[in-house]
Amino acid sequence: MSAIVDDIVRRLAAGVDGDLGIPGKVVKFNAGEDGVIVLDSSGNPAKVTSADRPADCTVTMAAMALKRILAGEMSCGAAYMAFTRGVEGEQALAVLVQPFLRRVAAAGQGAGPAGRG
Amino acid sequence: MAAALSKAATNGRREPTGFPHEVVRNAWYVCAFRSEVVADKLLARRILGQPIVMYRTQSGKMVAMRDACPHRFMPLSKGRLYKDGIRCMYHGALFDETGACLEVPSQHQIPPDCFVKVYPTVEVEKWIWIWMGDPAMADPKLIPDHQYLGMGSPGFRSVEITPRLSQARYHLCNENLIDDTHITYLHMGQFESGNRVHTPPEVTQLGDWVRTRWFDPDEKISNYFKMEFDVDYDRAPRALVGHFCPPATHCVWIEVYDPKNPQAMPKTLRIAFCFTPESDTSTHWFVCESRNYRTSNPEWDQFMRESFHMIQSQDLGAVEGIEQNLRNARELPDEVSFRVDASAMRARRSINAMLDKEQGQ
Repeated sequence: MSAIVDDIVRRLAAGVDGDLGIPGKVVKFNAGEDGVIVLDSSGNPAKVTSADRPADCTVTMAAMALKRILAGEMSCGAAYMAFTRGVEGEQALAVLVQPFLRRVAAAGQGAGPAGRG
Repeated sequence: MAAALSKAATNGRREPTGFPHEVVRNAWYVCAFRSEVVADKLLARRILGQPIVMYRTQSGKMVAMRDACPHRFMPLSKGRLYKDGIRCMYHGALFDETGACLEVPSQHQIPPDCFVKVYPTVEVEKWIWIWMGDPAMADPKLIPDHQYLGMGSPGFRSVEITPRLSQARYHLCNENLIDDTHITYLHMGQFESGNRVHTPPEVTQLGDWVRTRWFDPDEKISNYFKMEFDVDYDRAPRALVGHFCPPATHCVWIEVYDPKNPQAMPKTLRIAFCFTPESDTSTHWFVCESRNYRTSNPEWDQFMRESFHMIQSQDLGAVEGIEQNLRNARELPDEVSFRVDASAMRARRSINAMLDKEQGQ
């Protein structure tokens, strides 16, 4: 797992407030050689990890794109459109997880530069 | 005559062949979303070169008037709403919703020319339309059918896209949208498989309207479209239909069919545009997207807005770059056209015909 994925997982995990927007489902961001980011709502509590596992929806996307979303530099819609290299499974889950990503991004911006990942 | 003048240098600039060099005035243009004009608020916007102030009366009636006090041309949008009118906060002149002056605080007599021009407006679905030309010709029946544009169609949910201003004349915006083969390169890899540019659309003239239709029975569905349309097909029949209602209204229909049941109603996105000239070289983009899937999920609204803004930024970069060249290049050769420009050429002819009619030729 790369440092960038490690940082993304750390930030997302800190932002889990019980609602990933995908009840009972698992969404995986596959960042290739950098590793994976798994948003897991299949259990209670929901969690974000870098441990690979089967997912209901897998979005293949550069880790840098996720980092830009969390830094507030790019909207989810724009990042998905520009950087998604593949999407498999239940497509809707990729959209439904966006509010969680936005919440984490907003929290990071409120924390100042140190929190921008 | 518009067509003849358009090839010649205009105001020291060289214009592309057949390029409409003026703005059609006798037409309905969108001036705002209905949601933008709310109680107790003045909204200022320049339309066809004119400053306009918009507001609602106490009963909710929409008013659009020239944003200039006839006394010293102070913007009335810097004034204050007073009952159903506006008081200019320079010297206190008060105007009602018809533009009539009710009061000049510094004198008893109201000068006969002291009134503000009021423009006809019509509210339909999400949009407010304004008529900047001869008010006697302002027939609401000339406003395009909004169900055709996607708004108010049964089974569709409409999403407002935040209005943006482009520093490019409206003809460039029109032609950007009419020519959908630019998708392959300008928006490379984002929502199309890459073969759009190789297959010219059918072009049909329906009265003043120009219609382009492109259909691929086995289109590779892009990653973005999979998420946007909530489908898991790698390939499916897909249609892209563009309608241009001159001088400035468009609707793009994107239809994704279920490959296992192509007779079923396709998942459809209808994107309505009105390119309202702000000035000779700048244009308001009013856009409303309507879809017949995920109609109760507001998360899709946000996704659609964000992805639209991404694409729109690329389009703005193109048309604004062209505008800069048209305005500033010391010399440009005659414009070259490709086969795919057939629909844009028809659109130019439609607009020039409107201009000729407007100018009594």
